[in-house]
Amino acid sequence: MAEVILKHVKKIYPVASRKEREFEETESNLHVTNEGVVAVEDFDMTIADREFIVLVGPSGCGKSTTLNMIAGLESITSGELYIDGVLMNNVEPQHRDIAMVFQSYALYPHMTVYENMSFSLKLKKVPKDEIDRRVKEAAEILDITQYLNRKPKDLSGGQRQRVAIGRAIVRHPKVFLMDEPLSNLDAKLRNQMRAEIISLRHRIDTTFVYVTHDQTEAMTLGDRIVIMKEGVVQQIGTSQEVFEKPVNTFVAGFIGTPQMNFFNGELKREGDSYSIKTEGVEIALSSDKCERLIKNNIGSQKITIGVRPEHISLCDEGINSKVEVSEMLGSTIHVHVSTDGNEKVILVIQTMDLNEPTKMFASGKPVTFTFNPKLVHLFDSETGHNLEY
Amino acid sequence: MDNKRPAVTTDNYLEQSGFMKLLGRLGMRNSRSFAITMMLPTLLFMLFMTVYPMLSTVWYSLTNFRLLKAETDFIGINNFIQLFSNEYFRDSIWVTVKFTLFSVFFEMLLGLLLALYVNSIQQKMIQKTMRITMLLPYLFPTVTVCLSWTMMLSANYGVINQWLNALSLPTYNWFADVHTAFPMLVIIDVWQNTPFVFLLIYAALQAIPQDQYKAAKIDGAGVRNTFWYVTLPNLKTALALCAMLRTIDTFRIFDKVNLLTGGGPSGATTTISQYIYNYGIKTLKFGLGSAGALVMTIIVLILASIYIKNALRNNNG
Repeated sequence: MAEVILKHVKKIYPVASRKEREFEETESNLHVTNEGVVAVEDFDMTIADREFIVLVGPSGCGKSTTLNMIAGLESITSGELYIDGVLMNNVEPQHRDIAMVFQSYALYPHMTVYENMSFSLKLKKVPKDEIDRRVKEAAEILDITQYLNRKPKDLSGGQRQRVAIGRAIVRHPKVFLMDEPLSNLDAKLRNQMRAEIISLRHRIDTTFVYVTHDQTEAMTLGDRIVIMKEGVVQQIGTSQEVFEKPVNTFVAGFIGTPQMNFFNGELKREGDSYSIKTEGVEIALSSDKCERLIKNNIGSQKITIGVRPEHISLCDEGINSKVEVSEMLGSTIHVHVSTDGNEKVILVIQTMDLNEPTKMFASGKPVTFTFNPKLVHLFDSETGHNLEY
Repeated sequence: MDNKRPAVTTDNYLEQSGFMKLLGRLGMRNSRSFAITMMLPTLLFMLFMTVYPMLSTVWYSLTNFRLLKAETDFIGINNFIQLFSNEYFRDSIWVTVKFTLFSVFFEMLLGLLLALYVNSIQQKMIQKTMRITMLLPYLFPTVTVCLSWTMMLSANYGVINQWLNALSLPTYNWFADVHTAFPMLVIIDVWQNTPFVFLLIYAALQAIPQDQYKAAKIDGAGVRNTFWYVTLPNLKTALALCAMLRTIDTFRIFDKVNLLTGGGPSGATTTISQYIYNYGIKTLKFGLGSAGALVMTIIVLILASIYIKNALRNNNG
């Protein structure tokens, strides 16, 4: 149980040669400076005691590097890291009082489950009966008592991950670090383990830092979510905040399934009222949106309009489009349409009141839709920043 | 797409080509007899190339077959009795065992240390260069290796004796001295074959998941504990395999011994192979030579099965 503070933490990997640097620049989307490849840029955050933080972002965004820096497996190039008020920059991993769960489980293959779980305590020279008590307690929590004498190769993926979590629990760490722990599991097991992590979190009540590229995991597990891209933190907030108030088009597109639709459009200001125009349709904005835009002193300009698929509704008069593909999911149908202005849009329609939805949204059928002006997101067309927040 | 056209499979291709009818006529329509027929040429070749020579060796070992003698008589296990009652043969077994023990031990030790060292080098370029350079001795033909070492260790003009002379240290006639011939053979064998061990262990080291090292670091394992609890158990199979291959290979050593010392001085370096060559092949007593070869094969088989049983099968990876 501890507070974790990251103060302007930065990670730069030095690039050995010019050739290597050119390769990094052309082959990856990483930011390369004279000092080297910037993996994490100015990470600044305070993780409260017993908070569950999820770092999320696409591959190569720096989330695992950040976690490794907290763990002490990567050195910090600049900035400060405090765990429970103590500066940890130069402290060895074993002295940071943390525990880590890896995507590949990282169990020692030649040791039994019991030996795997007790290894760190054995190295710490904890008395045998205390080790035994802690291992059995953790095994009970994770329901793996019957596997204590087995070796990792005799266990399924889910059981192995439980052992890996057990190995972390026995240490009673101040901070629990998890690096994509569910990524190697199949979809069904992943959902089950996700629920188990939630209940585990309530039982062991400590600070969690969890890394994932799966936004569903991020939304369901985290008290707060940190969304990263190319080493830079894009937004920190609760699931609801990042969903409802995305700070830029990246966050808006990354959070939510199916992903948010973006339209090129225009924002028109007439006095204190605003309207948006896209695909030949003009929609007046709600008063609360107008207030926020006035407050930010936004004038008429070209914008990117973001609308979540579930906030689009069918109507008689609105934006005209043709169905390209539809995906029937039971209670909803995902309809991929192409507008007259050649924008690709996804609509999520409830099938409850519809008669034969698959026929209704067969390929080539015309669809007219509109969206709720209260729920649209307005982004600067050049910078991608949200104009309201 | 034309869906009516059947997909071409081996079965219906054979059916269409009339091949199956031909097989039917030959009474081979079931898959078992067909498979055996297809494998027969290879099997016959293998039988001729391996089983026949092996059985011949067994047969010769029970006869007094001599190339210059017209008659060959069956003499039972007399060749074996003669071999084991011969002090030189018993010595050759001891020399071979001693040679194998020393060579394999030092090759394994040095190969492991070198692999650990090269694997720990951070700069990829240096690591690559080291890897290639270290492999060189293994790539040279044994004849080249023997000639180079013979020249370097020559009592008269060898560079090693020149250095020792320059340092006012005693010099030796390396391959003719009873005290130095055997150690020199071991050193040269270790020099040439350590790269093989290095390469196998290096490959195994590269395959150890890095996450295990990270987990060990967080668990508080230092350098010694990490080696003992992570590296070594992960290398177990590679080490066992390596030791087995090197033991079998070293036990059969002939080329180096024959080229460097010819088994001398006074039998100090006569291994089983060299003994078979000296007293079986050179004297054309093929019966006796075959018996010696059989004894060596049996010892190698026993050693290999011990390795397989204890090390390879117990692998818990």
